Amino acid sequence: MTSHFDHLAALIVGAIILGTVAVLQQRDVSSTMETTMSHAARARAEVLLDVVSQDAENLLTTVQAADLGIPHAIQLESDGERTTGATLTSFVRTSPSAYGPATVRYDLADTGRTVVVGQDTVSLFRVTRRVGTEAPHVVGEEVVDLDLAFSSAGADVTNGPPPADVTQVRVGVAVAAPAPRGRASDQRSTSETHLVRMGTTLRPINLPPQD
Amino acid sequence: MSQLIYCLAAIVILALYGLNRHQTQAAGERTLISREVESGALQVAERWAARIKDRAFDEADVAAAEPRIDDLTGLTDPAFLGVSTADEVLSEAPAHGTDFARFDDVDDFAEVSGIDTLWVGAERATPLLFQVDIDVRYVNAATLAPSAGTTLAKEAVVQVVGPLIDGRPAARVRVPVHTTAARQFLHN
Repeated sequence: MTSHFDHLAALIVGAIILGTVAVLQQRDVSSTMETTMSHAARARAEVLLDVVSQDAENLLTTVQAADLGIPHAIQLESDGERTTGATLTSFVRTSPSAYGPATVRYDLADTGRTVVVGQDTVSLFRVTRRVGTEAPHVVGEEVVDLDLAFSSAGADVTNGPPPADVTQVRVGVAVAAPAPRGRASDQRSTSETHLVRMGTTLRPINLPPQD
Repeated sequence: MSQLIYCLAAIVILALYGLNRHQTQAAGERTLISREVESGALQVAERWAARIKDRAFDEADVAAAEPRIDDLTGLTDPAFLGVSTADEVLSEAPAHGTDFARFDDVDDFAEVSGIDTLWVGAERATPLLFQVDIDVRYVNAATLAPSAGTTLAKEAVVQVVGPLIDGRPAARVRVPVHTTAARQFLHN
């Protein structure tokens, strides 16, 4: 009889161990995926921030922009929550071997998809960059936030041309890193690790606009 | 009886393995959070660095018509760097150390020490609080070594310390900003 109990106990404990190992393994896979996705999102955010920052740092002066028929070297558009578009006249790489002045247009387009970040459901956007009359190309995917603003002594300005006293440009981006589905309820995270937010403040030499 | 002993041993080993895995995952999660906070701290430091780069090299250079090339005349005494310099306290910075918008030269930032907020999260509604401390000193323009007297170069060190996680700061960032009289003239 004792031997039967021993076998039964071994069977039950063995099943529990197998089940637990499977759950641990599954969580391990989820965690690894989450880390990888976060790294991928960080890389996308860095690329987008670099591209926008470089264009903002290389702004033309007002006179140089006027020669191209453009009244302002930089102009921002905002819907009140995020930057929806920006036009910068800047020195950019116009071909693989040449730099030159050109107008760069950034547009934020809603992809129609959403992602849950912490407790919030937020829209995903795509950022395109168009140099001159060339076809636009995508520089940012799964973007949650694009934030360009003129930082001056007063409140930051997110719309229109730069105010007369503006000297700095704030650039911020946030890119989503979707977490793996089907996580255990006790692992539901409310941290911001699924959202990679990066930013910088630039001091373009041509701001305030110079004649 | 022997099977039961084996079962108990297996449970102990499994428990140790599970705890170890959990610790590893938690460390990974902490790394991700720390990296996000570090990125935030760097943003705050760059914001202050941009403000510093935006000011005149010295009180004597505010609204100067020409860049200072090799003349040290009128530069603020190293012992009086900061808004505590008599004329600045009285005329420019009544909100001592906080009203940075009214600072007009690099060393006005010498006594800045306080809390700065960075808004994060999907809707930029979550505040991250950072302690900001700025130190300004004269340095040798060629070697960037600290100088006891006036020189044509200053170094501002922006130190940003992030919120506490597990009792210690999640991020500590130090950004040195080197300015020279000629460079500040171009910027200003």
